[in-house]
Amino acid sequence: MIRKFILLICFSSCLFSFAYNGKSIPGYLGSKNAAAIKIQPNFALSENLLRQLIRPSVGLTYDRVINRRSSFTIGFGSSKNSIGDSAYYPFEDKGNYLILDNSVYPSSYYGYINYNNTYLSISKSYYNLLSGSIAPMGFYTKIGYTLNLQKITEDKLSYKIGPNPNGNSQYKTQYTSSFNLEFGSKRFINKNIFIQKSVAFNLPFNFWTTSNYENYTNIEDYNETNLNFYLSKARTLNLSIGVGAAF
Amino acid sequence: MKLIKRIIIICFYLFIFVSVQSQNQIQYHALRCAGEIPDDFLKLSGEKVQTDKSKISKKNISRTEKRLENEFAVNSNFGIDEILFSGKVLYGDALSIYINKVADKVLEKNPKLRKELRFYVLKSYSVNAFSTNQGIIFVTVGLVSQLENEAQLAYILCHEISHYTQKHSLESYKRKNDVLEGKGKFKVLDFDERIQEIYSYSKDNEFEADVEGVKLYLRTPYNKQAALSSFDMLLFSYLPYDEIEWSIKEFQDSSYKFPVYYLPKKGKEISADEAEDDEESTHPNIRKRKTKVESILEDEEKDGALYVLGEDYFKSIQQQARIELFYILFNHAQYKKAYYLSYLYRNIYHDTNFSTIVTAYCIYAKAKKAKNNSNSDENSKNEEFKQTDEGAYYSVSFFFNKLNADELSILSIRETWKAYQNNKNDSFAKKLFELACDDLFKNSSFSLSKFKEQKDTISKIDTANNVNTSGLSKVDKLKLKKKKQEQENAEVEDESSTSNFKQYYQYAFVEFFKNKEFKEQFKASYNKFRDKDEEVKKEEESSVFSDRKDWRKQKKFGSAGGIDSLIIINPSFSKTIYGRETKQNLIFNEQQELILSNKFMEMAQLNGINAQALNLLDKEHLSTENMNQYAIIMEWLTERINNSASDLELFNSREATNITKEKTCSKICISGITYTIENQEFNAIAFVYSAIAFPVFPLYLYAQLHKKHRLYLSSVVFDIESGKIIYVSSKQLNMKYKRNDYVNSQIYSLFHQLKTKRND
Repeated sequence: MIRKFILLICFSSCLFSFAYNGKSIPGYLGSKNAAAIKIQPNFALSENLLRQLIRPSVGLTYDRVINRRSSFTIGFGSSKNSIGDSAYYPFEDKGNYLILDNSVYPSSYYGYINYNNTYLSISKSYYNLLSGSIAPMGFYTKIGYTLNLQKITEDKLSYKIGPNPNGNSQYKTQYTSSFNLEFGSKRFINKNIFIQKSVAFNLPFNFWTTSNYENYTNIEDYNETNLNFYLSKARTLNLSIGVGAAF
Repeated sequence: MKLIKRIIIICFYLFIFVSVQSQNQIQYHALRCAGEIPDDFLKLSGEKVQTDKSKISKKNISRTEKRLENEFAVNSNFGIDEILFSGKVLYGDALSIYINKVADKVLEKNPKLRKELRFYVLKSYSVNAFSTNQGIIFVTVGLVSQLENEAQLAYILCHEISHYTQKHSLESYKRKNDVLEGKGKFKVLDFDERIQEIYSYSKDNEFEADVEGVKLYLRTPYNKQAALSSFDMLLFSYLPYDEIEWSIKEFQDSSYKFPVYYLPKKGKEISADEAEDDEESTHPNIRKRKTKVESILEDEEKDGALYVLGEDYFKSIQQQARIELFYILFNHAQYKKAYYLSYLYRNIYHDTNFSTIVTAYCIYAKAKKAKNNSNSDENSKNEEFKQTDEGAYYSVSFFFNKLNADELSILSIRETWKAYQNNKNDSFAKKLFELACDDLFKNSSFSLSKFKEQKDTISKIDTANNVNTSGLSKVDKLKLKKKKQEQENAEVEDESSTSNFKQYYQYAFVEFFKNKEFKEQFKASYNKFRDKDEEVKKEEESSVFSDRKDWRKQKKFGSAGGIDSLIIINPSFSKTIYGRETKQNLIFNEQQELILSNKFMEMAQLNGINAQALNLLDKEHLSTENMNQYAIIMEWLTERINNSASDLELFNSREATNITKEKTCSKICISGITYTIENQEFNAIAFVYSAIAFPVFPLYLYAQLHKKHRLYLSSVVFDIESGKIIYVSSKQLNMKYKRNDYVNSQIYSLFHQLKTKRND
């Protein structure tokens, strides 16, 4: 009897569409906040950047459920990265050349630069109700904005032929930003703990770039431009995995 | 010693007196289970299947036969349990006790077989009895109400017992499988011939059960001719349990008379034919069966009694079954039929108190139903008019189909008033009268002035065909003549017109207005709805969601039920895999129902809802009380669903309200999950596009090979006190059931919405 009745309701839902005023925001079993630690390999579609894969950035995210289908997220993360001496080829391909008095071509440089990248992000997630998701659980699409702060911490890039021209080690902090579109899912393994997986596409939006030269007069400018270029490449597509807790 | 002897004798007579009294005591409420709960109810279907399967594995039969028997064990056990837990099966009640006693008499000489069999009563209007391979025999209330004597019941039981002893249900299943799969000699048959073969085998089984049944019957103390008469009883069983000509007069009085064309000019012939064509039937026709049985009985000289347990006992049981029929018919909103049965009941048992209330309720509910249908612009006036409406019942059916919603409302007031006058202390009768008055003016254009308080000359013209014209003025005579002509024309041309002639009902309450209480209530109802119609309409519009904006809002914030306490009936679960064959694992479904029951309770409590489970799967705590509560709620629900008029006062509401008082909660939550997995349909356009843009072809391939998972989560909350559906939720989700977090989240969300306070 009940089965028949339920089947009747299942397949004739349009007959029973009732809505009453009231805000029901259930979260996940009552938990409307979710915090997660996220590991994000700096992945790029270039074998030259493979080195960065083993130096992932670690981030923290905090989600606050706004309603049944969306949540507000803020993220913070940091990573220490390196651009190696084998990494200049794509840079060269772009048509940028370091034009210095003593240089012949960019490959005259060897060594690496280390830099710190810290990011702050702000985003809104939309959960796919049709697939059974209810914020903060299940499949979501996230739209956000990320601000990256990079600072070169170590410059070991040397000119092969002779001493570095105009060498100094005074670097400014660079600001780069990007719009993000992320697809991911949160799977709860018990009442509170969840595993988060996501793939994000970034559209670089570098309006604060401090150096963006085509002709360089010193190695600092060269490195900063180099960094900018690689970061925009590296952050085009991000995969991340994380563990979190809802509360 | 003498004193002890006297005490023993007195005690003995007292016992006899009490037992006879208890046998004849008629209950006017619906029958309920009593006593200890039988073992059949205390095992999960899965456990029963496992027991059967272990027996089958020990059998020395071929692998194919074992497979078939295993399949049969699953289907039959789950099928029987579906009936057992439908809330329609009775045990320990007066009818079941009686049937078991007759079965005791039938199998007096075969105690071993008697131990194997269990007899239950099924609350159904149909006239039927059926046996199962597991030894359970069901007898319907409809059958008991139609029986002419105890011996007929004994023969029917013998017939069903023979089905069991000959293992007909299992053999039929095997045979059906062989025929449909075209095994062996059935390979050469085409589809139609195979169907005929199945019918033919079923008829052979019936003949065998008749023959074996008679053999068993001849060993009982019952009259042998009753076996033959039981076939006649079955032949006419589609008609009500008695044939008493119905008179329209019971609705009429001196000022309120129906037009002549409200009754059929001639009756309808009885179509029952004992030699009907049985080619496409599972049962042979009555003539063949009678002939077969007669041939066996001819050689027998033995003649027994029509009643062994006593005629009075049989009559009281039959009366009880006939009372039960009212409840069954009300549950299924069959008010027209119930009315005729109340007419029969009144004439047979002269029991006016109960039958007037039943009659009044039939008319009240029928009026309500008609009004509801006319409001929703559905022309369902003839919805219950069936080919099988024959004999005396045909007039009743014809009459009710002539009445429109307004006419029924007027008749409803008259009949509920009469019932109230007959049962002054019955609050239900009073409520019915008040509701009937309200219904007349609710959403209608009736005003008080439409109903006259005194008869005038015109009234005679309207209602009487043979009016004495002497003493009338010329004008009145001419008016009378004109009206008669109109009447004749109306009969011939347009019987359903709303001409002045049809307003015969303006004198409906002439006699009743003489009563002060009637007049006051009538006016009060009129005043109540005089200005309220517009407000009611606006309220209805605002409560039903239709706006796109509302729909978006609901997606964001869900709905709000504002419910603090709930009775949760064990949720149903069904998983179906659609492919070449549709597959359902019933054992898995049952296990999931058990898991879901606990999950629903847990999630409700997490939300702070005071939840009480009514769970028939919890066998450890299952009791007769639970069974009865479940049955009452199911009956209430069936009646509610079959009556789309949401403010209809339900006949079963009184019992259901008692449960809610007991549990201090009037809201009932019925939920279920239906999960389907099916292959993607071939999408030719997507295929062509993906072939052109070949890099995306793997994506297309993935999508095409990926199975569609659909989960339907439905939930309805009823408020028994108000009789309304207060919350409905039905979702179709593209998710996998094995994702626990999804399922938990959805169930939690459901109860969260139920708990959320309303802003209105």
